[in-house]
Amino acid sequence: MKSKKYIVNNVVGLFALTLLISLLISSWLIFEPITILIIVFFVFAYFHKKLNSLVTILIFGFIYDGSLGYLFGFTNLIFLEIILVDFGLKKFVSLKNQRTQYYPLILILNGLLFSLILNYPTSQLIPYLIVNLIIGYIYFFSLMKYAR
Amino acid sequence: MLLSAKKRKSSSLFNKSKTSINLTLALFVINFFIFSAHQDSKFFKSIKSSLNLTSYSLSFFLDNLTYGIDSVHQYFLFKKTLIQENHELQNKLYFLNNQILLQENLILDNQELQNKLEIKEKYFDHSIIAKILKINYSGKNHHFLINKGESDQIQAGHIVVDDKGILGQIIDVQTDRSTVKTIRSKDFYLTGYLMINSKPYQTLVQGNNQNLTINYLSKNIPIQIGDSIFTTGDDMFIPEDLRIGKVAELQPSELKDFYKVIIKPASSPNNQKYLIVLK
Repeated sequence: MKSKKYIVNNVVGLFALTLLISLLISSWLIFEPITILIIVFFVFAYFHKKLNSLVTILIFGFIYDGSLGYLFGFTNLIFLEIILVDFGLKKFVSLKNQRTQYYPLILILNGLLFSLILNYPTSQLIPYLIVNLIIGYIYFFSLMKYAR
Repeated sequence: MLLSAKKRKSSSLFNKSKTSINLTLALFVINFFIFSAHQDSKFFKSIKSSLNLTSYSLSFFLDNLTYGIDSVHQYFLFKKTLIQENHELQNKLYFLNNQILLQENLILDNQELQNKLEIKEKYFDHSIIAKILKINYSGKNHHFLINKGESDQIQAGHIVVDDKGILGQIIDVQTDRSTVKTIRSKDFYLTGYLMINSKPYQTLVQGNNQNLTINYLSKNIPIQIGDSIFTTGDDMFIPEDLRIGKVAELQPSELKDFYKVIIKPASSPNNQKYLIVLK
């Protein structure tokens, strides 16, 4: 149990877990890039793990891109876009507490849509979105439950 | 709830004041340049090849895993095929063994038929060879069926012999089969003669379901165990001098001066497949 806790509480372990799951899912869904997991990881690490070091997260993104064969900068662009959207929302929109429980999900969805702009996947957009959102939802709430 | 309001309050979801927006923007622009740059250069390729996991480790692992699963599957498939082949070969062997047995039976049948034909040609001009049918006659001992009947000019009363001697008499005839009553049957009577010291002694022989008996034979006749008895014949069906059997036992009878003679029949229908019907 200790080792499990260590993996999910440690950001590096969490990243390794994310990478492993991404690799496994990529080996199954070989025709589409699964970006949702790294988006979830970014949101979770940045907002819940208080990982304020942008450089660390960018290095993670760099490794992730290289590992999965994406173009360098792809996942980091999504991450930075999420932070910028977060800044914008904080600046221009006042969110009430009642609504904020969906805030990370909005950011994740935003990241996913931005990834579509960067790399428009296939003609099968709807199934792609559904699969990504389901995987992302499960992964995010798993992290919220076990890795906080 | 996973995202309860209380927990979120304590988290720093909206308090990222340490992150500078200018730095973020700058990083965003740099990243965008990197992303849109031509990444087929040696520099990027070398980094990518050192980081890339998909085409090496995981793919290698997955490929080998698939190969391993395939190998195991092939092994079990091969084993199953072998078992099936073995089963088929065993069936063939069984079939061939049966064929050999049938051929052996045929050879024996042929030998027996040849033997009967020789007897027929040698001794009985007007006779026919019949096969014993493997059907139980309805509830009577010492009765059996043969495969010749009216269509072969068989009549009730005809005598049936094998290569050792008289075996029985036809009592019922149908179109293509006949019923034979053996001489061992209890109600079978036959006149015969004992040949003792080249002198015939005529007597009446009766079946007793196991052997034949001469119920009363005078003690004055010098009979011995092993003496043969032959048919005396009649004018209708029974020919003369057919071997009936041999004296097996001499028992005392109810009458003081007479023996009860037990005769062991020479014929044995149990060992035969073919018989000769004398017309």
